[in-house]
Amino acid sequence: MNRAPLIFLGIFFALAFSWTGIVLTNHLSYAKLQPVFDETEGKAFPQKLPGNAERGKEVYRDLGCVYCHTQQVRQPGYGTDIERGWGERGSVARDYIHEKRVYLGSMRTGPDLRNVGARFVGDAGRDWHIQHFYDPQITSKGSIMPPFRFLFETRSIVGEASPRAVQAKLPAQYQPPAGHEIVLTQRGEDLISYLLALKDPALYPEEAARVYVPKPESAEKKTESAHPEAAK
Amino acid sequence: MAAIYYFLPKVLGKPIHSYYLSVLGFWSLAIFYNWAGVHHLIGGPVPVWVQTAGIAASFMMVVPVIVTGLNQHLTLVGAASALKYSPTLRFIVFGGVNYTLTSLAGSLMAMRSWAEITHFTHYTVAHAHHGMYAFFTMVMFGSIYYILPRIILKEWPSAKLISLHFWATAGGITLYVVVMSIAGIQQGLAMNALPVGADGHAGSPIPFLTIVANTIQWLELRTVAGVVIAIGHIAFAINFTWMLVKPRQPGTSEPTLFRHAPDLEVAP
Amino acid sequence: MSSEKTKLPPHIPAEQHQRAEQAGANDDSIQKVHAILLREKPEPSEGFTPLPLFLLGFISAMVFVCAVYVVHYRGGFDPLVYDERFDAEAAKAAASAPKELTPEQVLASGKRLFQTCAACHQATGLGVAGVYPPLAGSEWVLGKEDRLIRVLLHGLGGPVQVKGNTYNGAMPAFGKIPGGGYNWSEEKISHVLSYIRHEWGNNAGFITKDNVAAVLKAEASRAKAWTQDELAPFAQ
Ligand code: HEC
Ligand code: HEC
Repeated sequence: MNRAPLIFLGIFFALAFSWTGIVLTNHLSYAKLQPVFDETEGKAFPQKLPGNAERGKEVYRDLGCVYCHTQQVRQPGYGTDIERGWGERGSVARDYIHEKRVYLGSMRTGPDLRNVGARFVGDAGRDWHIQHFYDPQITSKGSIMPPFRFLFETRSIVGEASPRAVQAKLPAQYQPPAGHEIVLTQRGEDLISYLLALKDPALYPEEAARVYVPKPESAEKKTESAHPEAAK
Repeated sequence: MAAIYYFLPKVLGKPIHSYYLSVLGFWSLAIFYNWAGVHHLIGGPVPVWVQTAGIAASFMMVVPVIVTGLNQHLTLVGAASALKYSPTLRFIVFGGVNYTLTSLAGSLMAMRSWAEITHFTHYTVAHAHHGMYAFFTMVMFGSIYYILPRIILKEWPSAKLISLHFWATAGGITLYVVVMSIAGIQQGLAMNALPVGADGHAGSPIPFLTIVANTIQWLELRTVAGVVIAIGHIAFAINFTWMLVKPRQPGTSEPTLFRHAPDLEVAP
Repeated sequence: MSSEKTKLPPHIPAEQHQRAEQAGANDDSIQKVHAILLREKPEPSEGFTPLPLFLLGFISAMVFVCAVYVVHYRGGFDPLVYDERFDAEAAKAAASAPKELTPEQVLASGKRLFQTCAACHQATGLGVAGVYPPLAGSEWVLGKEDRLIRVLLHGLGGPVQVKGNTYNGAMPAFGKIPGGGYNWSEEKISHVLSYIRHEWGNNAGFITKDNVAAVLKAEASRAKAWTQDELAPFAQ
């Protein structure tokens, strides 16, 4: 009773079937996706990350941020991603076309970060990240995000104080001893550049095929399911 | 899976209930499981038809699961008393039952409305451990209890330690899964709720940090569960090292069973 | 290690063992061998109980349900469709519906946008002592619209007094200004400002999109953040 060839064929077809369906078909249709030119901005989106942000993405991977943070906004009316200000639209495949590796994530111990770059912007945003990485309790009391203090270096001031010293941005109890300063390491700089660049501002043709109007009864259902204790 | 299909009849000395069920289970699994992976991206950045296909395949996973579950449980029927004696059987049956449970829960989690709540929460973590630990790891423990004595021709030195191992890991993982599931559902409901805010209007999400604060108590229980499981692992490690170092018995060896089996109708 | 039984591979059927051992083996060692082999159950086999009928029915039902599901939520098998509820009719109706927002909707939208501000000014609007000033009860928020709009559009830097305390940080620019970061539309800015003027017991008027647009036009060439002194003329 030698059924080996039959079993082999069967397995081959089972795999070929699913591979064609979910790998090949999608590969073909995603490969066709092109950046979209935005008339008002005069740029094509999504944009490539600048070099330092690209390095920051490696830091993001190294430090395992992906275990606690996702990078995908769910579609409007599905969950409350949009209501939480995590994005203005759901993420679509086109957003990721420049990325070799995507950090979609699967767990939201922390908020979604696909559009952090739209929430924390410019120098003020940089300052916020510095405070948050130094100790999340400064900006977010009760956070369970660990401090990433090794992205900073406390060193004694030799000669002139560095223009890159950051202790002035931290509250009083975090000040280094006299004659010392706190500077952000290169890895820290890169990571923050990445977070500042991480956003999907453009609208794509995909938006035309969405239903934005949530059905009224579903809005009511959500209100009812609100947790009484959690709301305090 | 294959380990269960081997050890269940081997330990019981009784054939698998139905060959046809096994074949059906195998092929439906082979066809549908590959597709089901997409259920991790429900609501995510893949076109809707891919998600739908993934969800449908996840539903269809109910078929192999029920078929396999039936097959295994019907094999056990009538021989359940062997659970009292055989360590291997106990671990493997625990794993088998949890396979059925976790897979059915998995199919449920693929439903859009359920995924909306549980996706990205501790519930997923519970589910992953349910599958990897309560099913896979427990079956592997059972297999080790069976295989090792036959390879090194020594018996497990202590039935008490095996018993401790079983109850600590089984109890610990059950607590773990229950706790994390509750935490996840609560987290998901709070995350998606748009309660009436202080201003009297619906539509403000519960602050993220409030949700984080509410899950901490559950995470503490999770630590307790982890400690209990670790105790089980230590018991196993002691038993294992002891087995390696103890001299081989010159005389007839008896399998280590939880209690003396009346007619030796069971292998360890 | 060289005990008798280790030499005998246990997978050889028992009769052969006996034959192999007949020459030199004594009764005792044969018994030992048997003790090990006796424990072994036969190799697993399979019964041939036929499939129960209800199972076939169940499987057919599952196939049917899943097929219906796929057809219903197929999204046209279109790689650009991301919403299973998509329905061209509903989308068209929504697009042509009047866009005028009620005051409640404006506040709701403002509340959503405020989550960006809450990172610094906190959801309570109380800020962080010494670092981020409060918005609740702030004279900047409740005071003249012209000044408030400018703070939002271009940002604010240098020492500022809020409710009797001095802060020295950098409030980012939110407007569509040269080199601006957030690039929020006039509408969004009007929504968030209307919201902070009505929350936490604050009670000042709505700010419209046109108010914001007018200020943006008047300050078209400005790219820098304001300082408290520069804004003093707009506070009257
Ligand atoms: C243990 C899980 C955990 C890890 C690991 C983690 N975070 Fe977080 N993160 C959180 C939590 C919880 C919050 C929400 C509370 C807060 O703001 O601190 C958060 C908030 C944030 C925020 C603010 C988001 C917002 O919109 O308010 C940023 C930015 C962030 N994390 C970046 C990172 C980066 C970058 C890393 C990797 C270096 C990282 N996190 C690693 C848990 C984590
Ligand atoms: C990155 C942190 C940050 C964010 C985000 C931010 N602000 Fe500010 N804001 C500040 C700081 C710092 C000051 C004080 C500036 C100074 O000291 O010169 C300030 C000052 C203000 C003031 C004037 C002082 C007061 O307390 O009334 C207003 C009004 C204000 N912000 C409104 C907003 C609004 C509305 C938003 C969201 C659209 C916002 N801010 C977002 C940091 C921030």
